[in-house]
Amino acid sequence: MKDIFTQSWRVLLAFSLTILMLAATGCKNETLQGEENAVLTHAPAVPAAITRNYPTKVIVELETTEVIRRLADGVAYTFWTFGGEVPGKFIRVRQGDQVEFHLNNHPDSKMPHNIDLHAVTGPGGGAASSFTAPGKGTVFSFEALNPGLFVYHCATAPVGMHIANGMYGLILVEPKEGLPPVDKEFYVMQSEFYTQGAYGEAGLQPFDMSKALLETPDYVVFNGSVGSTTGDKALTANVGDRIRLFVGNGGPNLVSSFHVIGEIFDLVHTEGGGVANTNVQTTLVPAGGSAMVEFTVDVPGTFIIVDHSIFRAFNKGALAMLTVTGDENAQIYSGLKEEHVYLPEGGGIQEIDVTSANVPPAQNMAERIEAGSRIFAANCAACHQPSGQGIAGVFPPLAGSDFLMADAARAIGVVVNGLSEEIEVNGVKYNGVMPGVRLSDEDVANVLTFVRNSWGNEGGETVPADVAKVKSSH
Amino acid sequence: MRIYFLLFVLIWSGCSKSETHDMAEHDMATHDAAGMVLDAETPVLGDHSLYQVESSWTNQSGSTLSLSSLAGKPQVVAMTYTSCEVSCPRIVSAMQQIQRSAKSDVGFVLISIDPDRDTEQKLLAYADRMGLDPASWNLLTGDGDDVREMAALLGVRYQQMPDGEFAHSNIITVLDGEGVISHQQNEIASDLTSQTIEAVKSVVRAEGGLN
Amino acid sequence: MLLISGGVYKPLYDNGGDVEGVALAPFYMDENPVTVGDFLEFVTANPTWRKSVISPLFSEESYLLLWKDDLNPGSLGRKEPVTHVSWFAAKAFAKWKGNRLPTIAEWEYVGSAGLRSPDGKTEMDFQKNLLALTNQPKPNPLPDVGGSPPNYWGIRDMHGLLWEWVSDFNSALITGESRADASLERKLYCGSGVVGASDFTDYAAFMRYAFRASVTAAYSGSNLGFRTVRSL
Repeated sequence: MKDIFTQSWRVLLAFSLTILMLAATGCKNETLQGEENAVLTHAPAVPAAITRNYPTKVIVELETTEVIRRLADGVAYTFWTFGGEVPGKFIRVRQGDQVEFHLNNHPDSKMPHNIDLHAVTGPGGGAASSFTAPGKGTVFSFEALNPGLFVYHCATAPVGMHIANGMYGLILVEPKEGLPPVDKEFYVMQSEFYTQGAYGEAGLQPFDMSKALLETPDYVVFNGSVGSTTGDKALTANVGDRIRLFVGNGGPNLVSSFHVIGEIFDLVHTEGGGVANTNVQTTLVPAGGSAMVEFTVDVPGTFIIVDHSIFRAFNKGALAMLTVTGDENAQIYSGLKEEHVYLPEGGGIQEIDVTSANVPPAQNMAERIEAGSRIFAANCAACHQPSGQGIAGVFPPLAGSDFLMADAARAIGVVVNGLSEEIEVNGVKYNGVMPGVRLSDEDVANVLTFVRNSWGNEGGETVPADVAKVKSSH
Repeated sequence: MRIYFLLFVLIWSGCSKSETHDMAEHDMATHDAAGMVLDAETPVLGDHSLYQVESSWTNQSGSTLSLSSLAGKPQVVAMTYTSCEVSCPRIVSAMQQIQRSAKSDVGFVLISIDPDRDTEQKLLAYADRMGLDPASWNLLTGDGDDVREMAALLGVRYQQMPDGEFAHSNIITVLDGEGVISHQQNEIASDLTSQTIEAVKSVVRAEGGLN
Repeated sequence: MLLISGGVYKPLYDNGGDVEGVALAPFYMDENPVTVGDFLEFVTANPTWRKSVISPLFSEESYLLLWKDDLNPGSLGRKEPVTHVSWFAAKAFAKWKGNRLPTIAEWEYVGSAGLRSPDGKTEMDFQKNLLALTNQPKPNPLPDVGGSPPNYWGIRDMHGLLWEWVSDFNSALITGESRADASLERKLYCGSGVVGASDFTDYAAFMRYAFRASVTAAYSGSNLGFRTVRSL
């Protein structure tokens, strides 16, 4: 009995040593060296590229918190977050790294949370091992087997609500050979919010479950709020820069038609994976998915980043900006060469359906400006910009606008009926089409009082009676 | 069988796994144990002995005993019930395997999560049927609240289903001679049972017992 | 305490069965959660449950975290609900009072009452309001107990103020991996291991169940208190 045992043991040992040697040469296995703490960043920043050419043990610390923050001007929301902001902090590791993940749930959280990283191979993507009560921490580890750009999110019941409240972010697993160097990298993540009040309705807005089930969000935004990445918070680059955007979509429901107006993506790693498509205008980013896009900015200007399911951009907030500075290049883009009137056939002007909030009428000019600022944020700022500066050549400025200030009654008419003829503002010609906005007389008066008395404008009060007069004469 | 298993681990780790990974898994298992910190580096804040709990139990011989009477040698504990057909026999079988491999003076305890049906007679019949030696094995039944409390202490979750059966965790716990949790196995799987056997042996060694 | 006449509770997780529900005998329940003042009386009378003395087996270090010392709750209002108490401590308090902790079925049955009827789902916007309440961030400090309007049974503060311990918090086999919970493998568990929810729209209930599943008996957190019940 013992002899047989010993003999079979020897055979097995010899056999396994052979296998081990084969394995060692066949896998080209890299050995782990050292240990480091991952540096995580809030959007739109991205951690520095990895310069290591070997795998290491990476310690990631991420805290879940529940916080009230701005969703849009005058609108607040209770966000559940990975790292205090939406989207969650960006994690960057290298293929082959051993990631020791520490998930800590703040003691003031009401909810238990966990994390499912799509970069994890294992039950629940880590969710099964990271279920964490408030005031507790959990640790699990995984090997980053596959390179790519992956979404992570909370998967605690009710999972849809944890995601709808903001619990998602991106983890990049760089391939062993690294990513090609670029000049600028940015983190942009789209998601949608379902609130009890309509878009722009002021106050702390609770999550609306029935809208979430119907998949009809009030807000579709980049990086967690309306205007998170516009105006002075726009992404910035210089002419000639090679840019890489790490694009994620937290959902919870919608698929994004990701597009940068005035740019063509030279390279798109579709769905964040290994295949690189070239010369792409718009790329689909699934809910719970990603894309890596690269392009070089050749000319200066403001490039608008949108979900090209376009009503989301102009009516729900899915709009960010990339501001490029540097020298013009007329060969690539001439700028405006010629202007003429052009009206499309049957030029019916759209009307935006805006239902007025049940707010008591303004009693004085100060109240009118206060109320008007919210109406402006909800209906006008997407084009005319929160600063009222507009976008040169596309959307006319309101700040210091001679066209606006010259004629209060005409301004009322523009808001109520829209505008489709060429106008000249401060010496620059504009021939875009502005849709009429269906607002109550009170709201029109408020928003006009706001724009005619902001950013240095001094235009006096517009009252609802003025609006009624213009409407009746139309 | 054991050698085959070790070889497999060696081959496998040669290609894709590392020491660090194994360590991390080990850390996790200790943190999972009933929410208590078992890390040797954390200073012990006081008495973690389960034998502080004052509850009274009846075993398969009809004797009344307190948990503290189990002190003095390592105990391997699970919560099961006798009419369970699917996972409890596997838990008991894993414990029998532990008993065969440990070859030391180790006690084995099955606490019934079905005290309404599991009378001492039922427990005795079950022990006979499964071949559980009364010198080493205690099959306990008690008050429903005390059972719930033991489950809380061991991190066991259980729930009676509409058909009278129970859904329950399959946790095997190793208690040292003082009743402190030294190891927990959260599922019935042969590699995990092997770890539990090692844990039992190391408790025996630490307490100066024979191995 | 107020009388809750018996009834039937339909569990959120009905385990795939067409369950008629859990029949409940009548019982008494505290109108409000147990307060800091109540708990001060308890630790005064029961030295083993004071924060400097309690066994680590029965509570994490955060037990009565904000109390200045054993018999001094510091700046906490005496009418605030007590928090940072473990399941063991809550259970001992209830026993000292001659009461016990409610079961999940009892708590959920009372918690499902609306303002005018024992079944809140028959009232307009009940679930919506409940979800909004549950979703509110934790106020700091916690308000005194009794702030909410009484429900059909006259019970207050069941939703929105804090989570509450129940005697069988460790019964539901939820892993916290919510998608897997819909299809737990049968082989792992006796009985029917398939855990399916009876009402996929009751998000507030999902949150309560998730919270219960996330804690162990020694847990003591800032959002977790309790109330007691007594059988007739």
